Amino acid sequence: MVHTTHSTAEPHRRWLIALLALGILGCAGKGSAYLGPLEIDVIYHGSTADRPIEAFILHTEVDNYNEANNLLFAPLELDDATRLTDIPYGEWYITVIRKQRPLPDSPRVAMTTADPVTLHSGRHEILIFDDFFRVMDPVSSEDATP
Amino acid sequence: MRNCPRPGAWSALLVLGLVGGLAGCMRLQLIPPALLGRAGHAQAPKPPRATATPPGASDAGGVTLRNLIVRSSDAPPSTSEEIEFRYALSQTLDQAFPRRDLSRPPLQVDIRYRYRTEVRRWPVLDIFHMITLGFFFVTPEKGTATVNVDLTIDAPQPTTARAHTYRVRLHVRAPYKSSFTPWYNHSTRQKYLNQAHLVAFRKIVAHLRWWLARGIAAQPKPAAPSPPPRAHSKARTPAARRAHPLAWYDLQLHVQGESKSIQRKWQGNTIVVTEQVKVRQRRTPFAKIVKLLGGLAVGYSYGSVWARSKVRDENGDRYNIASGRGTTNSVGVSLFRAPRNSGIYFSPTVGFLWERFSLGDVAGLAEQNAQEGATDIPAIATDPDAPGRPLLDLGASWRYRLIMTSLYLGMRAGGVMVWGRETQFYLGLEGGANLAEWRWMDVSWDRYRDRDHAFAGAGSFAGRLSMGLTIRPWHLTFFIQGAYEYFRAFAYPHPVPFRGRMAWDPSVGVWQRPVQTAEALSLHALRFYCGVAVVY
Repeated sequence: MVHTTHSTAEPHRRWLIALLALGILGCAGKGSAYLGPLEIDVIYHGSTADRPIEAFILHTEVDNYNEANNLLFAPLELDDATRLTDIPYGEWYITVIRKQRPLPDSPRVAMTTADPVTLHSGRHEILIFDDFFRVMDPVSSEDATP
Repeated sequence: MRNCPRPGAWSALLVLGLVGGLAGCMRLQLIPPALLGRAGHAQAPKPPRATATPPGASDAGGVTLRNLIVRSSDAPPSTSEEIEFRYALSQTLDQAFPRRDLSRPPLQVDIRYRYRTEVRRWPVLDIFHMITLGFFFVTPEKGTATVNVDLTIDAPQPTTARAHTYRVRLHVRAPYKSSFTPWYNHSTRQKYLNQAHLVAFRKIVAHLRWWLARGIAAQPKPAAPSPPPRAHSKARTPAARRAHPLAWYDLQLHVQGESKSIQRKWQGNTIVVTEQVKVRQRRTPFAKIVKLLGGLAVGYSYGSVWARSKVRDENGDRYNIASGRGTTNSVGVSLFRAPRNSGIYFSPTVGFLWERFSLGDVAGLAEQNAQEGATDIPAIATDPDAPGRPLLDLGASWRYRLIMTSLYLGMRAGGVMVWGRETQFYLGLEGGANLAEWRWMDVSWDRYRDRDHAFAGAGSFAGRLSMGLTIRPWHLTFFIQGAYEYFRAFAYPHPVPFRGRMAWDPSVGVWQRPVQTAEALSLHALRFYCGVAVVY
């Protein structure tokens, strides 16, 4: 809450305060507007079937994905999507694990985002490709209050 | 599928074919006589190279050929053949009985020489051979090469000065059987005819030597002569063995004349000796084995293989999705046959290919365009199951280790040019298809391994350019070969995934390399081979 005082003797000061208040509100709306609870839509856009995403892991360090839990209940097949909820806000590294090649007995590969991803309110769409991730800008989630 | 033969039947047929093909390879030399220009040509034995050691003083005057009549019931010998025979016999006599005492007149002999071949064949099998373009190679031939020699010496014997006539009737037979001789190949019958010539020449020399060395004076009244010495008698002296007059390239010293019967009688003032001789082959066990195999070669080979797999893109066009190259070099022993005559030939062949190499797609990752409202984040790849979680390269080529094996039976057609007789240089070119193959492939990558075998037909082709130098008296051939083999579609046990061409996915706005599976690969193999071979 912004507290202001009125004075007829100082009109220039009032305008200045108003402009300052507008600037503060604008800055606040750019980064932290509340878009509803955090939701993540994970979509697998690989180039071949037979090597589904076996694990989707959010972790805090680039190399500690083995210390976090897999958020998938079932492997994510090609072109399938799943929605993850109840995710804490923060900066997360994302790791997915799948087979290296669509072959029986193929070794697995863990793909981790090179940079952490900032996940705040709203619905985030994360596309997983064969060798990179695409994070779409968040949009208002269905449960977001106006 | 109900009408298809069972795999067991295919296996039995293939094994039968391979065994037959191997035998055919070892035994066949299929050269049409019309293209040889030498078919049916009566080859007189080549004059000896070694100088004979005279057996005694009685032949110091030497032996000369006075009259020679050559006849053949196969085909009348040409004038040049008669001259060749006269030259060969004269030289043989000169070498066996050199004239060292010029004051003494040489002994003059008259020879009537006749030869022929009798051949029996199975025309039905020849027809099969013709219909199948030579693939049916069981074409037996049975025959006999015969040489009849009438030798007459009408002169006093040196040791006795007694005038009488010595007459030898020599009958040399060389029976033979051959299982893989088509009707147009006269080389087998020619070979046995040459062997009969060889034995006849030896016998002529043996009878003359006996007659010259025989002391009539010691025997005042006619008596049965002692048997002439055999060419292969163990009682021969080392000098006589060295002086063997007929060691020419085409007929080996293991050809022996076995005397089946000999009769001697006096007819007035004439000693008549009638001898029946059968040609026999005497070889050491090693020579028998080498002869059976056609020759053994020891050599070094170096080769390269190029393999590739093709798939179809979204437009239906085929393109290379994976390729690989491998090299091989080895030292080994192999079967070998050196050509004897110029001409063209058709022959079955048995071959073996074994290659190990790796094959992979193109390495690299796609670069993405920036999308509005989205952030692309590259991925760091690690191995989650390995200790230490080592980094992986997502853009690395997808490679596989392959072991390809092919045991094939095929047909070859080719031509060879041969120059020389005793020392031969040859240059040959051949090509053909592999009609039946047993293929085995092993595909592996990391812990993944897939292997299978299958039979294939007419799926590969081969060609070969060869040149060499054969020294017949030494039974040696020095050779180099360049061979090319092409396997059109060598199927993987199961489809193998590779990353394909870059493709734009408009639905999500990214460049992707869709994974495609290849069903088979094609392979080109080029190898060079040089070595030395023992040939018979």
